[in-house]
Amino acid sequence: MVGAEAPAADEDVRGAGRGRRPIAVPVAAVAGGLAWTGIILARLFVGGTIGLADQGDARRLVCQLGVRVLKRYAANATQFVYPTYIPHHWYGEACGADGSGEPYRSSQLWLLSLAKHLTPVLGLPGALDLRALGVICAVVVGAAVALLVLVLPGSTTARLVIASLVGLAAADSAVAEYFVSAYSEPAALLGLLALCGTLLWFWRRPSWPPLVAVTLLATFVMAAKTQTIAVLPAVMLAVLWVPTGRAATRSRWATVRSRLPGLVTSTVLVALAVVLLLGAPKRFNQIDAYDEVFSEILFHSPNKQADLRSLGVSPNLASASGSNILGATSAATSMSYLQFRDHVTSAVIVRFYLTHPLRLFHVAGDGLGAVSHWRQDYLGTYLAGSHHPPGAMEDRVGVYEAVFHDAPALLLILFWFATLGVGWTAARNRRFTDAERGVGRLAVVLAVATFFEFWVVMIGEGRNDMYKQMIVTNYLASLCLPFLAASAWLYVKPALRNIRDATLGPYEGGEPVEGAEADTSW
Amino acid sequence: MRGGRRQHRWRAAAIAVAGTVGVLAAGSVALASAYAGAPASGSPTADNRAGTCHLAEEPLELVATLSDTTPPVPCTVPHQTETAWQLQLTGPLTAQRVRPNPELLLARFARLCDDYPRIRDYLGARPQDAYWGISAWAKFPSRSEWARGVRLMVCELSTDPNSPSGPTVSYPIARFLRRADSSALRLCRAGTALVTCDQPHDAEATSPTVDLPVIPWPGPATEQAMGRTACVPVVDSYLNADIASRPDLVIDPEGPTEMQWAKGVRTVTCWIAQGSGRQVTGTVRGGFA
Repeated sequence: MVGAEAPAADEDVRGAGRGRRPIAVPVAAVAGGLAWTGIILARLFVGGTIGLADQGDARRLVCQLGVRVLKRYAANATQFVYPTYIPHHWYGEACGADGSGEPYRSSQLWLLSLAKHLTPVLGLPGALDLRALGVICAVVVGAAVALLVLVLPGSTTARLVIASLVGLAAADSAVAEYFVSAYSEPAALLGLLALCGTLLWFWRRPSWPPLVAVTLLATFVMAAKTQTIAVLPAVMLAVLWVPTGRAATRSRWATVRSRLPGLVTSTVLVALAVVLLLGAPKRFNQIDAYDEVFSEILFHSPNKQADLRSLGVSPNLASASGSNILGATSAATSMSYLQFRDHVTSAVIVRFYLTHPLRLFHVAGDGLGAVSHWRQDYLGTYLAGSHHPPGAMEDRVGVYEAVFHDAPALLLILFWFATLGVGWTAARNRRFTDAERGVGRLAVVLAVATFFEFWVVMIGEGRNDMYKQMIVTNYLASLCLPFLAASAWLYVKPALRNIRDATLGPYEGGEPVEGAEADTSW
Repeated sequence: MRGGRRQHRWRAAAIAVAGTVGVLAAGSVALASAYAGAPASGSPTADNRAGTCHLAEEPLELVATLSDTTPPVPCTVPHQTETAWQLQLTGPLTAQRVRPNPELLLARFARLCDDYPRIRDYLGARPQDAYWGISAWAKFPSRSEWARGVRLMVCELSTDPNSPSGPTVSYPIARFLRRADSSALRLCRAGTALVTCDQPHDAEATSPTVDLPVIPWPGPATEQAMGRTACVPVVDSYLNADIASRPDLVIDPEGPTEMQWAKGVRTVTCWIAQGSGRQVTGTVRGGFA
């Protein structure tokens, strides 16, 4: 089932070894994977455990595992990380979506349940220790890096460099802190990381096994939290981009049939997305709608009453503009809110923006500000008793933070367009091998995913807690960088080679190697 | 060639199916075993009667959960809350078929639990007693109970969840102030901080307050002397003894400032302090026979 556009999918694997050491890439993959597992373990645990303190969201997940955090009753959970959880019997609505009693589902539960099993194996205290989750995350990052080394095109060195840049995104302080936390994000972050390699594998060998892997990983990412359903369009683009299977004839039906696996996968993913959306707790939808209206739409509104009327709710709620649903001035304490609660849904908000498109500039401005802020700024990352001040945040690994933090909005937009543009041209360039085009495709897919993730966060929840909510968007943006660089390198490399050849002559650069001419990559 | 490709196709499909089934099975097993501690429905709100004690070992169970369906535990084992009373909700909000949002319910009804005289009564406070360190929590019917028409609200009491020891106690707090060892719920003062009397403190509060006469500002020293005199009956009643018979104790009246006096405030709180000025723990309350 080799794809029509991929007649020589393995050419880079062969080429990477230049016909001399075909074992180099697998060895490099294992070495790279082990190295990045070690790097993540080191950055999480050397010098004291790094994690992310809980602002109250952890309960909704860990309660389903029958555990509660071990800490002093009055200890402020937002200031320090409390990694140890002990058995606890939860009753009724205490376990669920923020005390509403509605069940909260997330693929993160899989990781947490795995961590629960691993806790005694690692000799960690309690029934669940989040440090076990950190170990799992480190292993998954290592595995994802190894997969990338296997499926990226080019020389072993180039593969290791690009895969390491991806690993570095996971090691960034803004990202790695989630690996020792009970939030839903690790499932999304790890799933996206693994999806990168799996998509490259799929584009190398457009067949059922990688397609199933892509589907499972995409489901895993979308099921992490409601906002990550936003990756759906990007994944659909990815699976439909190349035909799965060679068209036997040039007939239209044959063309359609070659896309059938992608279409089936897309349909399955859309159905899953609908199920996930319908299964999301109503309480969260209500909080998100509140945040979007009161902290985003009304916050920037020149005429708050008119906006509320346009949303179909009482203009009397205008006085709560800028408020948080739990705040002292919350509109949710008013009887008028009941009508708001029942009427204002995501669909109503989307319709509002469609009829007020200029208002999206404010939303975009807020969102770009959040991206350049880069990281949540109110939760501590050190363990209690670590001799760090309350709320202190570790900041040892900040390569991507250095790139994106405080970046002007225009630069972020240009970066996005550059990723899309360079990725697109690389994906369409017939001079590149299919594996190389895959790098371009991945840049495009990541840019598309970043775009949708950005807008789903900003239209779904608005300014409230946006620095924290933007983590998946920021992570996707940071993943764009290695693949933008790789796509650009595809164009730069031949030019550099030409310059070198012109400077040194055909034989001065060293003895020609047999089979080297077959390696058109990197 | 063609047969080989078909075979390869079948093998790929088999791997895909096996992989999917494997992943789903492994995940399901992991989840199923991890779900051993999944939440139980608990007991109905109606069973949450006055005098029953309940667990809320996780702070969010106490402060961020609208209902409380935890089954009662004996009040002599460590627990966090004690139900003081139930009441029937009334008003337009109760006509809602779907339970209103927590913010609205709490804004409308939580004050019915923050009922100072009723809490005093539940604690068994006599007129001379001032309680401290008690928090009131309004708990509502669960979503499913509300949908079935239950409109019962429960008022639970706990000791201060923000105190160093948290709200965990191993005794019933009903009529607690009638006990000789009731210092854990009595009001004391350490410097300017208000604490319970089981903590080191400088002075212990009595009740009720007394009022000074409506005269021009007499100056701080005179006001103190007037306050001391006015507090004698209250303090005697609190001690269940003549203050003169307790040379170790002094009355420490806390009256209005000159600015407050000018605004008409005449209220004085009567504190009992150690004559030596050193801090103590426990209560000086008398009359527990």
